[in-house]
Amino acid sequence: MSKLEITDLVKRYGGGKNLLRQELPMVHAVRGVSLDVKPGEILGIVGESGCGKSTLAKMLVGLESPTEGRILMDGVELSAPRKKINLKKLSQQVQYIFQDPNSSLNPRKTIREILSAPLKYLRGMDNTEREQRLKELMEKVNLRSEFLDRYPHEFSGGQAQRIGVARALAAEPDLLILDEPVSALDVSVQAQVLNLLKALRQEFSLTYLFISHDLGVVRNFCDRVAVMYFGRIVERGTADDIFRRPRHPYTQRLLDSVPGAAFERLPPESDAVILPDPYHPPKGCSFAPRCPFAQARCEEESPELTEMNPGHDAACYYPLDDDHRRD
Amino acid sequence: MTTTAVSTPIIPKRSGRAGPLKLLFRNQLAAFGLIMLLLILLLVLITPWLPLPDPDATALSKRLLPIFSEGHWLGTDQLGRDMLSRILWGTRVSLAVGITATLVAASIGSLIGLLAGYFGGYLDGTLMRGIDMLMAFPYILLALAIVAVLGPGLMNALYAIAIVNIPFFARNVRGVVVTLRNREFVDAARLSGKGDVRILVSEILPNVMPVIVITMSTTVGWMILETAGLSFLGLGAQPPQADLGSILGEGRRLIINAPHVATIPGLVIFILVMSINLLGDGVRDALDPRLKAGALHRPAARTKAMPEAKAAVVGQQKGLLEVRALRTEFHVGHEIHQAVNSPSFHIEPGECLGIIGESGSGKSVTAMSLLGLVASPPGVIMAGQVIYKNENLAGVSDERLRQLRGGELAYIFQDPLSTLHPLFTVGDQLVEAMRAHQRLSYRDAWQKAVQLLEQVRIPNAKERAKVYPHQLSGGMRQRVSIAMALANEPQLIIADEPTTALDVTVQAQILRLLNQLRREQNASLMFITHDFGVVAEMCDRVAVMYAGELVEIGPVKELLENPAHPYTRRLIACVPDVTKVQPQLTEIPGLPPQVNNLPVGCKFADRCDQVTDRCRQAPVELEALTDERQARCIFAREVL
Repeated sequence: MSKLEITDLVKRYGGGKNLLRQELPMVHAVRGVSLDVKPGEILGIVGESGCGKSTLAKMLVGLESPTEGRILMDGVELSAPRKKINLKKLSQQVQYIFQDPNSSLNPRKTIREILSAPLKYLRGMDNTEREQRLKELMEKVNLRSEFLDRYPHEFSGGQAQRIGVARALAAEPDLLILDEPVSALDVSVQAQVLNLLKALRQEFSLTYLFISHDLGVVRNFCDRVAVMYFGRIVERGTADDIFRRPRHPYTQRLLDSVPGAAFERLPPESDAVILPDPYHPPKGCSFAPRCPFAQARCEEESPELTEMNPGHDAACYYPLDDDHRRD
Repeated sequence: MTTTAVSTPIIPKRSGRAGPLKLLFRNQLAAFGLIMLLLILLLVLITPWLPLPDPDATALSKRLLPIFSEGHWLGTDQLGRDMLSRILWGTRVSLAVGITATLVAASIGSLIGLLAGYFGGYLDGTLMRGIDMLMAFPYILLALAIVAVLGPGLMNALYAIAIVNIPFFARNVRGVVVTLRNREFVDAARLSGKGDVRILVSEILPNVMPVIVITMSTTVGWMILETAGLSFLGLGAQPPQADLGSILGEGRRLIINAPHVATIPGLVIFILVMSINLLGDGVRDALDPRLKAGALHRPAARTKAMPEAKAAVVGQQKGLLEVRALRTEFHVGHEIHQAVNSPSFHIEPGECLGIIGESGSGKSVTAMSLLGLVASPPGVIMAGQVIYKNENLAGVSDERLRQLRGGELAYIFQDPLSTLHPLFTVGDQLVEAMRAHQRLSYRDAWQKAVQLLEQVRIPNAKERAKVYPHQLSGGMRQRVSIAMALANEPQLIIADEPTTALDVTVQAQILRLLNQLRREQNASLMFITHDFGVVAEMCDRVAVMYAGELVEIGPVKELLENPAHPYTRRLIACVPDVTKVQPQLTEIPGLPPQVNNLPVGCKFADRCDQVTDRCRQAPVELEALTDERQARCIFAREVL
């Protein structure tokens, strides 16, 4: 059974009508995402800003509720449209690690106060239990327990992010949503946090959903990868398949764009790139205006995810073949 | 556990930045206000124990005695009551009412602001419309109306004044709460199982407290004045009880015969309110985070340079621009942060030099020091030279520097949204940039601006020149900044992380564009970045910085393939490779040294895996390894 199963998840903001019955603008942030995450795996979600990856993450932890679609965890429904989310229950299973470690820690609270909250409110521990657990948590993330009485501004980015990890672990979740957890960190520190996360996954048999725009990190950290463009998944498969045999032209475009990696298999992109308008999503494939292989059909119909090889799906009518050339 | 990186403890150190109390005392007017207020408070508090006559005891035989009369320092009033005693008791009443009204207004107003800001939606709409209605009346009229309804009396005056001041607190607090509500730590608290009430009380309130205190400190003076005003009109304190306003009101009729009866309470009100306002302004300045960072001092037009750094150029300059042992420091309080520690390098005409380093390595400060763009205070160029056309740029006249900035030497910054002016169209900004350096009519300049936008491949440049920066995407905005850098035919473009804020596909476009334009214009490029991939793609040579020092410099290909300094080697190994999977990501344990407490020897020693005692004993010099390569490591030769 999947750890997490998402079916046709949609999130729209705004919309409705004003007092004069005029339509209000509506942003289509996530436009029908289906995913399953297997127990113990690391699923990477890759995409550029505005592709809906953070909105997806917020729905998974219950900070946003979906407009349409279902989220199942261990076969139990976590959240559905027009249903009040029991955030307390959800937070015991799913936790979130924020991108900016400093802004996710309240500047006026000590680390002890910050880490105590989930122990107290989610795990119902009393004072002595908490004290013991706080020490353990700090040790797990390689920080000294003396740091407990410091304030967040006294920590470097990497240390603050490890406190963020400790806070998530305090809730004893099964699933961790990591939203760009290392993109605010320097490379030398980034590796410290990533290696720590890998070790913790082993130790506590956690499942990770890892959101990132850094393809190098995703390649080295994730087992499977889903590529998002404009609110949809355009390709998903094992990390190896995605990076070595990308099928969707957008995935190839992302790989080509990594500086210094010298993939460069597509012709360079024109300077007049048209990005889709989130208020009026196109009828056809949203990547078509940027795609060097787009045909008339791509503008008219929206391709569904279809299996290219076993375990490797892409939403494209004219996918690339193994030599990165089109069929 | 496979990770072994136990964090190095941060040495607890008092920050060089002054605390709020110290800042308050540095402001002499505020300190004066505080001392005055404390004096008044002390006098008022001990009033019941002072050997004073009863303030309400009338003695018609002694009426209207002038000041300095025997037994009555401040004279007596029309009923022969002792003025000193009445003033002290009156001040007591005025202060008590003013402070109580402030506390009441602050509690109710802040509560409304907290609820409206946090919950938003209908609650926000309802509460804030109510506040708007309160604000729609001139407040003294509203206060009068409230007292008229409730009837005259000190308590009713207090209610009236508290009510009319609620909107100030509600609006200020709501504004702050709305921004705080969307901060990530609130989401984090929610995911930690905290409910709305707990989040409001324990997460948001502590962060709003400074705003409440600031608003209180600036309104308490007003409230005392308003109380006095109501009492003056006979609506506040009722005889025989008196506050400063009612004493003033009674004295008004005697202003010709016995001016002291009205003048003294007037003066006391003046001194009291003045001292509170001076203190209030000081409190605001001390607590406001923007002012705390030192924004009270207007930064100078160029970085302050010590005489040593202004010395004339000796000997022949290398390349287009040469930097010799540049030392930039930040002087914050009693601490010295050595941000740039004597790097020396040069840029050849038409060359792209990369400067790579992690945050805090001094790469940006180095770039900003070249044209004196480091904010002073706190930045100071202590020593070294920046040589362009055989002139030391730290020593040239302001006029010459202005001519070079944005002219022959141009900058591109990381975030174009904060460097482009939000209220002017991009065309106008380009025109302004050109006309600052060239004699051009507006029309000609506009035409050139459109050409420049075409040159940076902005589609439909003629129309796009008329839009405002916020109407463009991040990539397009960065193209505009590039166009601005190109506007005056630069010899050198200094690009400080120009693509860091951009998406990867947009970054690829911008890098390609920069490369093309540099070749077309034969300009040199100094490219500051933290990304080795970008360096490999863009640069001819690269300099690696660590803790303000240049640790290695050389041609990109050689340096990346065979790094000579252990820091470079390990930093390259840290970068996750998109072309292959590494079983374990390499990490560098520990943290860079703090620039206000640098070690004597090699700055990387604490994190280096091949460190020896010799590394820590004395400063390690930058050593030439080949004609083109230099490294700051005693083992560098053995590596190459």
